[in-house]
Amino acid sequence: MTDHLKVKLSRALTAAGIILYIPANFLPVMTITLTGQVESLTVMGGVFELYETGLVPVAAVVFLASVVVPVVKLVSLSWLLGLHGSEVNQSRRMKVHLFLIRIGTWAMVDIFLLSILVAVGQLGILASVQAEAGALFFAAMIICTLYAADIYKTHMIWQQPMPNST
Amino acid sequence: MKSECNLPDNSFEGRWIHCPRCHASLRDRVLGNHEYLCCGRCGEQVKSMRPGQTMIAAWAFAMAALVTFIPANLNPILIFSVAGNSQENLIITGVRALWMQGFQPLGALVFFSAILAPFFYLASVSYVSANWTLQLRLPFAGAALRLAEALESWNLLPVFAIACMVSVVKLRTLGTVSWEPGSLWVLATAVFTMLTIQCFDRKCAELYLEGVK
Repeated sequence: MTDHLKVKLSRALTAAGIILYIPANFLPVMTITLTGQVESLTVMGGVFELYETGLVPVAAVVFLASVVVPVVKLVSLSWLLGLHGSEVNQSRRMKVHLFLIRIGTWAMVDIFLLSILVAVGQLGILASVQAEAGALFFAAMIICTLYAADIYKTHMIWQQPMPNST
Repeated sequence: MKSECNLPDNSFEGRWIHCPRCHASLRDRVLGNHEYLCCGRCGEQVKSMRPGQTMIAAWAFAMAALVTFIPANLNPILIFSVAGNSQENLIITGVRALWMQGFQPLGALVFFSAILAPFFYLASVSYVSANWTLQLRLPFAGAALRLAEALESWNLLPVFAIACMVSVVKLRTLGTVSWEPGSLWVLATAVFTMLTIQCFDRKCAELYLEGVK
């Protein structure tokens, strides 16, 4: 695979991530049924619920991992890929890219959390947790951003712009 | 156990080499003991003459993580109960529940990143570093090294450990939760995994494998 194709693929994955971000955040991730009460939670709703029960540190961890990290990744990936081939801020872009790769997987906290909650929520009418479509979109979004950051290599930031490339 | 390995130093002064990370050109030079050559542009350590001091530690941590990984998967992490009914939870229970509810991709993702990838990562790291530590030439070490590189970012057990804690907090609002020994094993595996990632010197392993081929 040539570098030019890699940049294109990375751009496509970032665009897909941005599109998937919308249903991932507006569709519910899970439905909790507890003694007859049914409650659907989105990603943001889950954080809010933790915050309201007074568990601020835990809410902060989940907020960072599942709200801040994806946004930061999508925004900075678009920035990196938009500036590809130019000579602006090259060393800063390199630092951002290395940082992106390091924080990349933390958004998976939400998926693991869902898997644990679904596992224990099998007590029938008393308590059950059902995964919802939002989780699928969320997982797909994470994978898109992971691969977008992974395919775009650090050395491509320093490449000379090719005459015929965009 | 030997603490030094004789890496082939085929470098000579003034040859042009490139930084493996950002591809900047830089001048090679023969290094003395405990010296290292850094890329002037991105700061990556291009080569070093402190070969694999942490390699033995990486081996030990990877083996420890492999050992603790087994009880982490076989013991329940937590028990959740509402009104007298209780439910045990292993790592694999979540995978099965997601699968049964019709979310096969999610189940597969959790299975891969919480069970398969950590296991193969730890196994391949211990295999590669055993080569170095025992001064052996085991077969397929090169393939194991590439596998370790590919799986490093998919090894999500530390993230899983955090998710366990958050889930306990969340379940407290719904019913009674009690920690089980499995959670401690998961935590131990996560810590050992992080230490392994810190200690494993990929460049040294690469050089060593090239040297013995």
